Amino acid sequence: MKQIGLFIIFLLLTISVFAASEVAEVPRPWDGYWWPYKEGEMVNGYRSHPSPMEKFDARFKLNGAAVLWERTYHYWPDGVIWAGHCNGWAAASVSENEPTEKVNSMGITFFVGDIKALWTESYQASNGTIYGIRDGLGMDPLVLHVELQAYLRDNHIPVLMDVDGGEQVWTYPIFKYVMNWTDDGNIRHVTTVVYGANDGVDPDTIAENTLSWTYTYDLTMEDGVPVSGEWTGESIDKQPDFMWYPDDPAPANPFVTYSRVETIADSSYSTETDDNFEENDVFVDAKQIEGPVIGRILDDDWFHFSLEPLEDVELNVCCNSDKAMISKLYDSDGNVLELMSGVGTERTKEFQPDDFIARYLKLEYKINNSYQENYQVDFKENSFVSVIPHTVQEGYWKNFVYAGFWPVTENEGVRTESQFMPIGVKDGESFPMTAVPVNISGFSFREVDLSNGSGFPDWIKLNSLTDKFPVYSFYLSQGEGSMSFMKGEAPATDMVLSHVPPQVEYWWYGLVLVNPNQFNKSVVGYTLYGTDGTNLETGSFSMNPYEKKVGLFSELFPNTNQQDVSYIRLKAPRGILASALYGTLNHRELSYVSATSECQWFGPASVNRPEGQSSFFIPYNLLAYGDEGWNGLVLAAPDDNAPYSLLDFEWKMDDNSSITSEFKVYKHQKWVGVLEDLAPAEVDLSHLVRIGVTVRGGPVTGFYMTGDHNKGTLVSFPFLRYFETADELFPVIQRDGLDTIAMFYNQKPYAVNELPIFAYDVNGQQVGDIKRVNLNAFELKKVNLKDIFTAEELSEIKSIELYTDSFVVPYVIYEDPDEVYCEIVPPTLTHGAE
Amino acid sequence: MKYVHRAGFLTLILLICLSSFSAENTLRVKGESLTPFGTRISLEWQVKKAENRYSFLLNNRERAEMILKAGKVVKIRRCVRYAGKEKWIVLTDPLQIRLELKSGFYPFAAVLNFGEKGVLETKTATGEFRILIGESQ
Repeated sequence: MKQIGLFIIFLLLTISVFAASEVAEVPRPWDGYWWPYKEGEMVNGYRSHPSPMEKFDARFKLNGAAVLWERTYHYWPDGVIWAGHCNGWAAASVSENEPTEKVNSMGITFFVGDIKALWTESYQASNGTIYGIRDGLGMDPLVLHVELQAYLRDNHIPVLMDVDGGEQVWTYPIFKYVMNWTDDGNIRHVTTVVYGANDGVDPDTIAENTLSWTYTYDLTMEDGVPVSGEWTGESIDKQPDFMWYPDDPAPANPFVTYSRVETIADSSYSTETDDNFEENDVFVDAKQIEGPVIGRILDDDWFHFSLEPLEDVELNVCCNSDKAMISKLYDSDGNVLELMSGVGTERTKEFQPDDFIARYLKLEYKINNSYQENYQVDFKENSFVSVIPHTVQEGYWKNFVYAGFWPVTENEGVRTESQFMPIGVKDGESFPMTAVPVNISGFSFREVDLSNGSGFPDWIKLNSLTDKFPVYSFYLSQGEGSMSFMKGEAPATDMVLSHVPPQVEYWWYGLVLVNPNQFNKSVVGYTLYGTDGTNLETGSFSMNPYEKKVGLFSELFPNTNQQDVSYIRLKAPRGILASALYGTLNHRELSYVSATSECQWFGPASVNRPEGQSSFFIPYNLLAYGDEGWNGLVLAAPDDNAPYSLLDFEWKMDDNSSITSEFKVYKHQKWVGVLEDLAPAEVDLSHLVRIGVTVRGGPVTGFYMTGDHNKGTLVSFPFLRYFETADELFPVIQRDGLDTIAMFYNQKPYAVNELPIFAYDVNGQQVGDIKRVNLNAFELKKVNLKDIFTAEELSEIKSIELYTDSFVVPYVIYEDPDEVYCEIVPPTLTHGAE
Repeated sequence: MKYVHRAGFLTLILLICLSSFSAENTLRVKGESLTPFGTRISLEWQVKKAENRYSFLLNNRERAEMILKAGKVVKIRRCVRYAGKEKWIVLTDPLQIRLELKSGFYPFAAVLNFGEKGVLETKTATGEFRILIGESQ
């Protein structure tokens, strides 16, 4: 018995000597939500619309800028499942007090989840001291041990930890730990349990749903101090990656600044009885929807909107809670048409009008002066729109437009018919340019009559329920004679006009900008870059729905000397169209060059630029002028983050030899000049076939230009992606003495035979036989349609289809026999062999 | 003789470097630090020395302090934001200080290396730093 008692005493002594524990706990950071990029709920809403970012935008009148940024960079519907805002949430949760009540600010109600979302975004790019490295290889347990003590025990604050030792990053604020250890000689066996706040709760919840992770490791001790560590047990495979603490708030979304979020978070909630920001309480005061409109129904709210034929538009009315908001549609005489139906917080009505219609929308709540929350009215456009942003009918200008169609492969086979409604826009108002929609079929181009509407339009669009059409607008000056064209491009939110020319006496330079959206205003921000890459001027144009701005550089930017400007960057929250205009005062030379959006730049892949766009080529001597003409190049390095664009040139000669050179364009700078100034000395331009370019660092944009001053020609040509086969459809122009000349430029060192030319009439029916073309190695061949079709056939032909074997560039030249007019239309390279 | 010249030249550079710190008592340090997202951020620090105390400023705001005693770092203080307020973290434990010096957001190690040996470039676990001598801003 005595022996047993001694043993127990010995055991207790042993435990008291060799086992110990340590607990540290600090005030708990707040639970929240990690706002996964895959869902994009900061913009798409976690309690329907308006979403946190939409309300933030509305509160600070940012015209959609914060939403656009978030949607562009933090919404990855096809991205990895684990990417999100956990680091922003974790940083915000330790740095800021928890929002616990909803607030309202300038008529906008922000729920707890909204405020947490905004705090999270305002810390999303926070940096700070990091312990360990984000390498997916785990961290030293000694660092974990020491830093937990440094932060929680000694400084009484939490620390952030990436608990996932692998590729994924899951950051949590650790606010408590329990360490238990036993000593075995100089080895300390430690089990540490860490406790963190939770980022998987409902955004509006004030929860305390703690998570915990257990780690085991051995520390080697020297004089009571740990000097090294080693993971044990399951922690060998499952350990944290790194720890850190944010130094300062830093938003990833540049619009979600700390001070703006603080303004909202510091607001209080007060009920109001009048939505005094809104003056649309009765039918006659109905407000035009320039969406997305965010408001409150403290009393009735009225809106009106117009729709065009062959538009497919969805009107959406949403609110943040499922209270019964009533949405009614009226005609322009005030007759009720229908009650909008929907589920929960959303009401939807789809429109596909046959004609121009005007509608009114009334939003009401069953008890006036009680509904404090926000609704959002917005449109979603499902139809296809093709836009030509500039039409002219002044002085000696002639302008004509062709719209084309390709048969479309669909699930059930090939669809050979389509329909569009040409719409003219003048002074921001749209009108029909034909009485009924235009039917188009087969492979064909149709002329769009610009004079058929109520007045000549400022710009035009083609509405369609099914297709986007290739549209070409041609411009002839009958002064001294010149020709240019513009192709309908997709609206973009971030683009570059890569060449502002110096003010040479007889040259002028202008811009065309169009806001093609009928429901949204747009604020178009611009930056003018100087020749040394400096930012000369930033500013913005406010553009109403459907507004067009056109003018000379000096008219649009009166505060900056054109001579000093290298290129222009344009950014807008919603897609706009922009084009540069180059011309001479005697109207002998004219060219339009559309702005290039980021997805069109060449360089390494990025969020907005697809893979496989890091190389391109420039076919040389496109007009076949040989030594008579001139050839120039514009290369701009527009990326804000890349220090330069590094280009590898391969100068391909007609004997199949190549000469290589390297070229660098520094950030925000541009190179422009004739090829004689760019080519290495050993390149004989009279034998040059093409310039191949591989972009090794930083994206580049620009264009190739060629012409002949004596003939008065100036054409621009885009950089071309390398391609295999190509199948191109071009309009055939037979007016003003113009000939249509099919061009084939064989880029290969061997002959290619029997390339077909198909011709089609206005209904897409083939005219005449298939013509075939043979090409020698590197041959550039001009085929005037006059020479291969009879006069009778020619009178019917409206389009030609050029099918080329791999790496034979197809394009078309339009010129008159006297070469007063000359224009070149490049391939789209959007169709393969079909 | 050649080596004598080289050694003299290096000594001269070192003296110029060291005297540039002590004369002005301020130093500019360019840092490239790893962020929690695996990217790098460039920061330019201003470091002021007063006796054994170095203060680290970013955008003219004091963000950290390092105190030396007999050539050894005995205290590091850093300013962070916690629960809606500014808070200074204080580290005095030698092991904690050692890890802080190894980390790479603040140029603590770079300033120490420069002060002790005139080293202009320092790499840490998560940062690279360059002392800016005679480089324009």
